[in-house]
Formats: sequence, structure tokens, C-alpha cells
Amino acid sequence: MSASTHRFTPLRVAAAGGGLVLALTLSACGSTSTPAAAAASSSSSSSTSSAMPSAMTSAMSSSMTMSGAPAAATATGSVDAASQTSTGKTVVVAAVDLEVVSGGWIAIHQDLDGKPGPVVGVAAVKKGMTKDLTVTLDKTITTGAFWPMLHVDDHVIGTYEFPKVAGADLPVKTGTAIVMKKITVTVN
Amino acid sequence: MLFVAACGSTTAATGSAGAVVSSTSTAAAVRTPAVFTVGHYMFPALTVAPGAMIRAVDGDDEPHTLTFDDGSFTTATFDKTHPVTFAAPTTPGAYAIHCKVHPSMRGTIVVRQP
Repeated sequence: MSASTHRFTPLRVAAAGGGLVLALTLSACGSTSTPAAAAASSSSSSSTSSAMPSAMTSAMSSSMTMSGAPAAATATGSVDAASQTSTGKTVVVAAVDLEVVSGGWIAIHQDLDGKPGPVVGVAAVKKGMTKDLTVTLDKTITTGAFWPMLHVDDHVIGTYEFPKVAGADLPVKTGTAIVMKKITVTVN
Repeated sequence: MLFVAACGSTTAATGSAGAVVSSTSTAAAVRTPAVFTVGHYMFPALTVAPGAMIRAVDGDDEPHTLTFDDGSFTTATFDKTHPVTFAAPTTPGAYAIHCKVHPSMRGTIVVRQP
């Protein structure tokens, strides 16, 4: 395990009462996007199993499959995508395989520090194999690295709620690894 | 609030979502970072002394950043295998924060004198 150290100088500071302990309010809240793109499904194929996710939350009951297990914990799948050229408005994912659960999402993460960063677009996928899925992006991207990532669709079906709703639409994992792939998109 | 006494000083406690991590000894805080553990895609509450060291740890599956809303500071992305450590502001106040990876993740770091 490695760590990096950062220091900063605050530019602006909100005043606080000296010596008083302030109450804190923390929550996960914000925007929810509903993608326009939905993918067709065809035949299915097997995939690797996934482990129980660490993010089991108070909203878990709303994220259960009919078997009673959290959807993200039981779902399996794979993502295949190639580096590509684009107009900057779409990204094509060559193949998505989602098993066990009835539906999911492909979220396109912009790269940040070599890791998946902010989501720039999502598209729905159904159980089974989906080929050549076109994800329409929420904003026009520039050339760079991106990470198509597979999520389940639970809680409110048809609405991408991760991570606004605790425990909803979590990433699908193989073991401890999130199902995703890094690609380069060249915008021309 | 969670307080853990160590060697006569109140230092840091690992916080779960919604718990308060507090560091009320400036000297101890310099030596031992307050641990800020992100879990369930939520930021824990955090109260620290001015200038205290904070260690941000990822307790879920995707990477995060700890970014001040006023644009004064952001960590690099941190994940399960790459935590980050940084110094809290030296001026007391309530600092609104968010995650650049997950903008819906929001919280506040409170800096106050012990």
C-alpha cells in the first residue's frame, strides 16, 4: 500500500465559532441521469462469478434480487471495448455480457489520474450478450482515456441512481475487481 | 462522535459513514493522521484541529477524490490500495467537500481549535 501526501493553502474559509463543535451533515445526493440509449439483448453466455460487495447499505432491501441477494453481489458479466475514434458524442462498447440479473448499465467513466473518474454517459443493457452498444454521452468529450464499467440496474429500474441512492446500481465485480475496461477515444 | 484516547491525547478514530472522526489534540494530530474512511459512497463526518493531518482511505470499490468546493484544494484520486494524506486547513471553519469522481458525494470537514 502506498500513499501520497498533499498540502494546500485555503483560498477562502467559511467562518466558524471558535471553540464550538459544529454539527456535520454528510450524505450522498445529487443528480440522477436517465439514459436515452437502451440496448437490445440476444443470447447469453456464462461469465465469472463475483464476490459480495463491501457496500452493503441501509438501502440494501431495495436492491435485492428475487432470491434475496443484492443484485450487484449475484450479477456476473464482462465488458469488451476497443480504442476508437469518435465524434466526441458517443462511445461504442463492442460487447457486454450481463448474467443473473435482468438489466444493468454501462457507465462511461472519464479517466482521472489513471483511474475511473466522472461518468460522462450511461446506457442500459439487458441480461445476456449485447454487441456494439453505442453510449450517447451527456457532454462532448475530447481525446483521452475512458473506462466503460458494468453496473446492475436495481432499485428504480430504468433510472441510473449510482451513487445517489445508497446501495443502488452498484458496479458488477469479478472477485474484488470491477468489471470494466480502459480504452482510448480519439475525437476527430 | 467517536473519540479514542491514546497516550493522554484525543486523536483519531476510523469513521464509518455518518460517524464523526475527531482529532482534538493538535500535537497528536500532527503525529497521527485522522483517518477519513469513505464507505458506501458517502463521506464520513470529520472534525479536526487546524493543520491536522488527514488520511483519506477508500472503503468501497471505486476511486474517489476529496475536493474542496471552493476550489482551494483537491487530493489526487485515492482507492483501496492508494490512500492519500494531506493537511487540514489552518484556519477554523466548515469546508464543504465533494468527490470529483462522484459529484453527488458531498460532505463537510470542520476545522476547529481543540
